[in-house]
Amino acid sequence: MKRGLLVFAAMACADPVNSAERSALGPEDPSVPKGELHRPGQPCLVCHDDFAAAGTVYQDDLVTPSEGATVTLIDAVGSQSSATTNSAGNFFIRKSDWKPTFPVGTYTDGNGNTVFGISVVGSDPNNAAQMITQVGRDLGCNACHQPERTAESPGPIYITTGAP
Amino acid sequence: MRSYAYAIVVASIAALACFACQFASSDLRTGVDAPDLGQFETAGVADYMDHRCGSLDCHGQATRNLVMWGCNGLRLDPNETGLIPGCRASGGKNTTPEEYEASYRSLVGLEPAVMTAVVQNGGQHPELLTFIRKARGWDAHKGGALVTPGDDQDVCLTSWLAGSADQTACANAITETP
Repeated sequence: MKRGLLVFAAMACADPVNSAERSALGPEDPSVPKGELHRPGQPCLVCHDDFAAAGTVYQDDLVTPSEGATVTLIDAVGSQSSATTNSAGNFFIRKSDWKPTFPVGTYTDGNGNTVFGISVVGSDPNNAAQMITQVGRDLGCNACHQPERTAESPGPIYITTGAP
Repeated sequence: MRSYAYAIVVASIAALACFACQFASSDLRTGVDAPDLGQFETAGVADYMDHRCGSLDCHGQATRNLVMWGCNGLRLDPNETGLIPGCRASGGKNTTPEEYEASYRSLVGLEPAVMTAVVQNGGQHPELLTFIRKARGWDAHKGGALVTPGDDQDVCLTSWLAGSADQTACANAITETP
């Protein structure tokens, strides 16, 4: 009886939108163990609700992961956090380490200077990629940065030559 | 006798309901007194909203009730695959007239009766509109409270609703707000 109530309570609390998003991700790649290297390119925050920000960075062929790139984020009140991409190109920042105030992204400061709130730098600091628009609430980068450029997506996050 | 009266009442209500349905045409349209489309485009109201509300993770999503199109987020033409993201300054393509109009229609069609009432009253009580209440954080809004009554962002929106969009406030709203 008690177990039944618990199951019922869990079902009642389930978010049907999130459940559908999780289902849409499909199964794990059997050749990649579940962990920091799994599911590159997929919208991390759909499952990882303990992440403040996460995504995947590619080289300029848009396929090869960019390992060792530094992703830096500056929020609306100037709080900053960084992460380094792993061999799958994945990076993540936990909420326990950084709680951004939205929006995060490019803006003009009081002195008329452009502040790039989201940037990615590989081994060559002259080849930084900077996001030119804003993120209003969801730093699960791959939710917008999908594999193909479409009307709804600017395509994958990538850095040009100089990638490590 | 009592059940006879009851039957008459029920029959009368049913007849009235059928009669009423005859006037509810399936292609019935209602108009809306809306603020000016030209000002929405040229005074910077749309550009401000695209910048502040229209990112791809917020109202730049086609599934939202309020959808914003523009060069900072969602593009209108589904065939524009491969487009360089962003506006012209960053190598992309600026918001098109069609995108401005689509955003306008999305906004003014959200609550047509309320929009009509606000516009007919010269922009008095813009907070009757849900999008104003949400922007101010007075209604639940996942994006939080974005504007404060009287600041440039708020003035940009409310002046447009009142019939004379404040171009300076809209320009400031873009540059002042991260």
